[in-house]
Amino acid sequence: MPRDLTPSTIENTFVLKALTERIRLDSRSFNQLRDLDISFSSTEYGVVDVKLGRTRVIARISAEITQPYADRPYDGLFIIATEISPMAAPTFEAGRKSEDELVISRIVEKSIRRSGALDTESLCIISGEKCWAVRADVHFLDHDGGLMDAACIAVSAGLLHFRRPDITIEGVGSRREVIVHPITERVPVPLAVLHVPVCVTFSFFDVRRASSAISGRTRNDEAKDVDDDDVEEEDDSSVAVLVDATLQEELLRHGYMSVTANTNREICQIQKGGDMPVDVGVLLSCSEAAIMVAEKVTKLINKRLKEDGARRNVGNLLVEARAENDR
Amino acid sequence: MSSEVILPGDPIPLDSVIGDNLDDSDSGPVIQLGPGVLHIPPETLLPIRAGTLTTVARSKPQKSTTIYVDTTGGRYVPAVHDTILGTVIGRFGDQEKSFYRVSIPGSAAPIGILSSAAFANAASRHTRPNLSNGTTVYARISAFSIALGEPELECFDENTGKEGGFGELKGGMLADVSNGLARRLLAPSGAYGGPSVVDVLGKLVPFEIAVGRNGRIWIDSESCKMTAAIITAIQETEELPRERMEERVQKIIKGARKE
Amino acid sequence: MASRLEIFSPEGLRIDGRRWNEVRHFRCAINTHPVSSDGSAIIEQGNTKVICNVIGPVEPTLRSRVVPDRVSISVKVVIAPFSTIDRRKRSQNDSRMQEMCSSIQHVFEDAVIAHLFPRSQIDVNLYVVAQDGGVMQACINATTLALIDAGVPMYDYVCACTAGMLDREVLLDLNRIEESDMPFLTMATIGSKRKVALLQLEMKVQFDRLEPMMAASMSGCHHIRDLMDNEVRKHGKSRLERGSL
Repeated sequence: MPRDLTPSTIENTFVLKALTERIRLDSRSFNQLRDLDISFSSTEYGVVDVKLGRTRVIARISAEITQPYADRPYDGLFIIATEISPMAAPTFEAGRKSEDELVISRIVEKSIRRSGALDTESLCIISGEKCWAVRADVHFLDHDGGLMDAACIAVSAGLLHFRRPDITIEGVGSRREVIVHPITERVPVPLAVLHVPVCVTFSFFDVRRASSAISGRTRNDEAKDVDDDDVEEEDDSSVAVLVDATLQEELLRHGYMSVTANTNREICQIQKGGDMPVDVGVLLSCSEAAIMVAEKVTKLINKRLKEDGARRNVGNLLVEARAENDR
Repeated sequence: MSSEVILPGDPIPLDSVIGDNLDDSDSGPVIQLGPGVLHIPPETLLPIRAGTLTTVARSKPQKSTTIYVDTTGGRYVPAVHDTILGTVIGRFGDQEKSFYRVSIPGSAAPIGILSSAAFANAASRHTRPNLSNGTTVYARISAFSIALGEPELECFDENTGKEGGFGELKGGMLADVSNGLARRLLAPSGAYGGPSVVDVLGKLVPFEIAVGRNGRIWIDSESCKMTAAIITAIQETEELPRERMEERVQKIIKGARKE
Repeated sequence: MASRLEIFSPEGLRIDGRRWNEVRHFRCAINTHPVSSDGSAIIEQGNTKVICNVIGPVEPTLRSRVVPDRVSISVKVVIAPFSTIDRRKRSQNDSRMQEMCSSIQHVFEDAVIAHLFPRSQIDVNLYVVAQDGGVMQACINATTLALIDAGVPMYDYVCACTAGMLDREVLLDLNRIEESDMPFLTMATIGSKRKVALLQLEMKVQFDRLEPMMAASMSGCHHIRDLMDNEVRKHGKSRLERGSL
């Protein structure tokens, strides 16, 4: 049954009170991800099914040959389509872009495309004439929070899993021809993935608002008092930071930050919207935690890729038939 | 009570349903139709949704048989006498006569109307409760028809006129369960054979529960941790067979006690 | 490599002659459009120039904008076609622009004492007249001043500043050329403490470099807060002298 999107006072108070006792409703610890399951299509390359708790996202990578943009003749095209349909949750309307959808698509875009996860120069076939256009279609199937994290993992894993058909160029000058070898003829080629970005969303709860909610004062009075006689070092304890919030937690949180990191200890993207002001030290420690999550998730992606590779590589044929081999 | 799986359009085996629960008079069998069964006169009965065909034989006030199709999923359609858990989202009217708009999550008619006079001890204006937005109320549907639209709600026991557990809920936590589970929890103990999850929990830990037919439950107990554990226990064990359910519930509650 | 040297010379000077920790020339004025709006401000940070006007709190024009317990803020940013070297009309529906609007909106929804004006709205209109890097920060700073001019109660000044990282050098308050050449972040702080309302980083940067960047931009924010505070007090004093308070 779809969840109602206006949480009641009871839920608000309880979740905040539980957080002051360091309890999450699903009995996870604050920095614990939900169960993550990544599976690949058994028939096609680049189709990934990511389940993050009850959130489910499918990404499909495809490639076709087109003409590059005139101002970037050496670059291939890479498009990420993240349209959220009412399938994910009834709050999303088909054809109308909500603010959530905007944020999600921008974060996935920044995390993966702008961080250069895919080497677009490697997609160039003939400069200014032909290039690969790689397209990632993200489908949001079920929404229990953390859509952007799941989408990012799905696209990253999809890019690693995808194989494009091998091509050869014949002829010279203007009579050059591109021959595409169907994947049934030649072993298809993986994409040049430079790093694996993993997006982690941290949700911030102001637990002082909890005490005010319980004692019946409005949270704004409380926030004001606190701002007046704030002491700088007590800040860390007043904010509860949750990793990978469920939809319920997302609806009740006071602020959030999405950090995209990879295993090279690089931060690809940070997006902290203007909600709840948080101490700068908390933001830094979140960024560091994101790297740890990225390492864990990347490990899982690699493990699943290996399993999938082993399943496909019946009789070691894929290795022997590879185009890079000496002939 | 007996039940079997039935699909829309299947014939209803009337003879076996009625069995020997026949009235002594010659007027023929008395059958009451519940949700999911359509009567096409003169005497065709047709299931119109998939689920388990459930029949309940009654002997009072007269010998009769109730037939309905029981399903777990789907959206809750309000019906008179059902109890629901809703959230106050607004208020209209004047000082003398004011009404609350109550959102009923998961319901086919999402907004109900609760009169501020429809509480126990609401005879005088001064004793009426003053509910702010976001308040959760346990209420009963007093009038509803699809054509009328908004269900009317009441917050008192219809038999005694007293509070009877209805009204504003304070503290505790709300959780979502399936429609079917909500109905099973409201059924008299043992109606579905053996103890329900609430019976099992009740032996282990003291807690309060309110079940809304719209697929919501409210739980309050000694601590946040225990309340969270009880909710987990109820949600997780819905589809487990009884022995596994008891085992799981015990494990969850023990886990919550430990720390 | 040549372009790098230009951006930060071995002598420690940047392309426009600043040191690493200097903000650009900052000029601001409030109550610039007293007729057309309830509060207004102009901000110049280097060559970036933003005009802001605020209308409200007023009764919402649309029913859908009514929030029962707090004021709703809507932000619109118009980028003038002549604001950059290449003249072109920017679409309002650009997802980058929409993201910027919604970020600014969220910043101020938590900075304004929102529960004082239930069921009302504040419209913030921003006009980017010239852009030379740091458009977002200039928009946020301008909004703060305009809200102050409009007399909307806020918890404290919201101030924004950018900081970039060139190899190992932190550069504060980037201009357009610097922005296009290095990873940078935009930070908005509220008040003179370590509270961060907004943080955006769009390009890949080593984690170890993050802390110096954040520290630099925070000090930039605090500096800008002082500059804005001075201007507000000066404006108040001059009005008092004119007897218009």
